[in-house]
Amino acid sequence: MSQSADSARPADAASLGTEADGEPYAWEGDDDHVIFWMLSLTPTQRLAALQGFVDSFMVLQNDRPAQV
Amino acid sequence: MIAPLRFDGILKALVDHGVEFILVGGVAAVLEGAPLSTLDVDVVFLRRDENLPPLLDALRALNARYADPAGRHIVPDADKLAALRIHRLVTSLGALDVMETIGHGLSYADLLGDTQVMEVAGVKVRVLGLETIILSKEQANRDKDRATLHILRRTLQMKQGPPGQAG
Repeated sequence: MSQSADSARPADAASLGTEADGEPYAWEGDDDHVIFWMLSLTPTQRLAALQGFVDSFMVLQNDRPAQV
Repeated sequence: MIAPLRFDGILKALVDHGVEFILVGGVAAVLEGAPLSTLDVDVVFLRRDENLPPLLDALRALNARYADPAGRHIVPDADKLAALRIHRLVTSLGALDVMETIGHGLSYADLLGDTQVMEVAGVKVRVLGLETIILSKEQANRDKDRATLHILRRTLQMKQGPPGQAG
């Protein structure tokens, strides 16, 4: 999923000019990598990838202690 | 506790009941190859009298109720399906939006020309093409739509790239 791309950004990514320049996404190398990977999958595999992301999100949400 | 979300189960219920629909929105974009995430299933249904009973049966099988901020338990029925154009539902398998149109009034008939039937998790689903997904999100123009446009456009660009790349 596209959200994971940010975690792979190097520490000096800001110096390449992204958010500071007003561009919401300028780290297109990572976007392309994830898109290439998605396009290599079958539709069923793409849905499974989305389901896996959502399942992880649900686990994190449901394990989070209730806010007081 | 957040209810579970099963994309394949929602699609299977609609297909098994013979509902005429087009999968749109985030799940359609993912099936088209866009690396996005979403927490609901969006469909545009064929607004014809004969499509309403199977739709109602499918929604009952999914234990659908309207997503009501006041917490009231309001379930879909024939009158509501005939009268309302957007049904924002919570089901036993997750959130489901059933719509008559998307964007600036794009109906089932308007969208049909840019769809393809995909076999997904054992069911054949009619999925909206990426170009029209982008168009509908440009027309809707909400923050959440604009936030996905870069990835959608880039995915379309890469799908349309030279032979041997991806697609």
